[in-house]
Amino acid sequence: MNKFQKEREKIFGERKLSDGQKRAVIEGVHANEKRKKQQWLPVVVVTAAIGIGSFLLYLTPMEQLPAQTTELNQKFSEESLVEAFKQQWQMNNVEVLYTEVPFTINNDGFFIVKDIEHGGDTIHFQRAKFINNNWEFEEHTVLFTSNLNHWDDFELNNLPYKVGLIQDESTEKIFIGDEEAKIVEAKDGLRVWFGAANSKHTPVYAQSDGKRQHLAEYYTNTSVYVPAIEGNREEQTLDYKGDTMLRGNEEYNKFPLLIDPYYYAGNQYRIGDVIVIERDGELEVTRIIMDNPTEVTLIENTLVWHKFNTPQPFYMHANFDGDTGIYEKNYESYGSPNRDEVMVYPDHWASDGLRGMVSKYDIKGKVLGYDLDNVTNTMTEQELALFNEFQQIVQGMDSANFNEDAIKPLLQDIAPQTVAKLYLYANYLEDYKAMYALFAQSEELMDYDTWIQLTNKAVTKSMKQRLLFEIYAAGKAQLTADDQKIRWTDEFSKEIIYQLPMKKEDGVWKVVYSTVKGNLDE
Amino acid sequence: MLTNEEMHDLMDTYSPYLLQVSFMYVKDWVAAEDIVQESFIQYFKSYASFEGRASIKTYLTKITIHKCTDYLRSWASRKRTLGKLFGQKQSHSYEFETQLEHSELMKHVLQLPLKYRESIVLFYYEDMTTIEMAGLLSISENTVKTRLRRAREMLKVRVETLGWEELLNE
Repeated sequence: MNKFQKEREKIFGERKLSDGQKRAVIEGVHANEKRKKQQWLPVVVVTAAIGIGSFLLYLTPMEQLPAQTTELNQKFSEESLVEAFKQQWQMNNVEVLYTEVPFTINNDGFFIVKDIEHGGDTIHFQRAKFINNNWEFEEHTVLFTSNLNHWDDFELNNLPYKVGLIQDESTEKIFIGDEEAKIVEAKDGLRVWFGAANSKHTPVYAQSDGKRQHLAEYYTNTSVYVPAIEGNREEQTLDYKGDTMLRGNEEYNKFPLLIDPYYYAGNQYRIGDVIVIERDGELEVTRIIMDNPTEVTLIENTLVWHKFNTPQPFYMHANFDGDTGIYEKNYESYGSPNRDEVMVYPDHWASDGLRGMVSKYDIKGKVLGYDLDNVTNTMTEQELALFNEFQQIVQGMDSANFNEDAIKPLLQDIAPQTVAKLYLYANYLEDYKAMYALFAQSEELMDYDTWIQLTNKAVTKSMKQRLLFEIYAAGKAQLTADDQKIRWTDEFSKEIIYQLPMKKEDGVWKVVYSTVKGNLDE
Repeated sequence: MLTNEEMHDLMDTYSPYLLQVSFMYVKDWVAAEDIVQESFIQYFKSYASFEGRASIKTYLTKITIHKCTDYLRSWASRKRTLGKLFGQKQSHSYEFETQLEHSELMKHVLQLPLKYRESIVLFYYEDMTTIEMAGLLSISENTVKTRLRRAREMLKVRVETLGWEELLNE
């Protein structure tokens, strides 16, 4: 016996399943046997019923068919959906808070239930599809009632949704961007809200006394990329040039940052929040990695929370992970934050950013994302020159008959990312002729005059901000394996940040026209 | 089909070992007990189709490890981890937890990331060979060896007070 085994024997001894647990196992085995036997009877009955039913249907006059159809469709109902869920998750005691059948398509359903059986501390959100007279469960997420006034991202049928819980009576409404979310009452003052969002970056506001305030995310934001935030209320802008958050894509450096100095007046400090602190008279962007009295230790290239907790978020691991031994034998205990402190650690481990405790008084605000309000261009000088040349050629063309041969020499051998940038920049400048000239030929593409009538000409300020971010994102994108799209995927969270369908025609990359604008969708 | 008495005996024989393996994976005794119970149910239910190509212990271990990894990916695990993070009180406490905190080795092993922890558990605690581990985890023997080497390196840094070689040769 080696030392590992000796120590284990000393710790656990002969600890085994209790008699009660063993009984439960044996009952579990027999219960299953019983169920198997009982299944025979319904199978026989159902088969016979289907046979007789088919025969009667054959004999029944046509006018009686609607009644039969209604009966067959009874399973596609809110009740059967919840019932199927209870069986799937073996939850016998749930409080149904909301159901919607159909939901996003004609054969799906969505519902929200509170699990009473296991302490009532979880709220389940579930979508399901009704296929072959059965509910097949699709997306599912859970929120914990102990963590209120926060929200979580939830994708339903590839559409971004946000879900959250509130118990604050003073909250009148919840807004996802400018859209009001649906609020559902649960017991004991708990309210559940949900709603569709334009994108994952759409901010959430709670409205009390007619005044809106940012709501925090439920889970810590584990994405590396910095969102471009829509809307601008009482925030401040910081043009940050420090290197504390760099992870390879000029994070928190590329554009000015939108800072909410009052965020923590109404929200809790959360692990993962990116904040601005004042250090030696200078502002520094950093990340909260501990918000409660829990010890944090650096072991090699990983920050470990108290005891045995090896956390998953990317910022708890060094952004260099090779075998060169840089982090070998790293060991440092940072202790745990006091009540008026949080622990911070920069994303860029090789920077001089503060590693350790910071007083809450020195926190100057929460970084919400990039502020593109005063940014007018995200193109390089070469790209702008190319665009100007391209624009001049297109301007001279007849809109009824675009001369492909005139633009071909200019765009030959130009990377798809650059072509995508030209297209987005044309949209930004509302130069629709230039946009149209960059479309690849396809069945869906209509003539210029029809297209221009259908295209929404009013590019609002927030759309312009979004386009500037997309131009930047297109530059980071890579061609997909099938050469059908350019796509930028977050290396750590694997989320698609941006994508655009592209096609190569006679050595020239063009944008594929689609009636559905795809960027975050698969 | 096994008799109740046979099932009882098998659980007495293998549950201590399986509970320890399961705990080393999920780091939560209550969850470990649930997983082992489920593993036994699955084994007893599929007993008729058990072809005896591997020993019962290996077969049960494989079921348990699969269930542990499923659990670690599940919302139940996320719920427990979050509960701990947000300072929820645990419903149970065990006397072995104090011993665990003062242990020379196990507390460090439990800090390792899963794939390295797993390597140490199977190799040093369960005395498996690298070939057996490769079969159990459905990975190549070379991958097992690489993980084991990396796990040893990571553990060496933590266990500085003890002579490393002396640990293995006793």
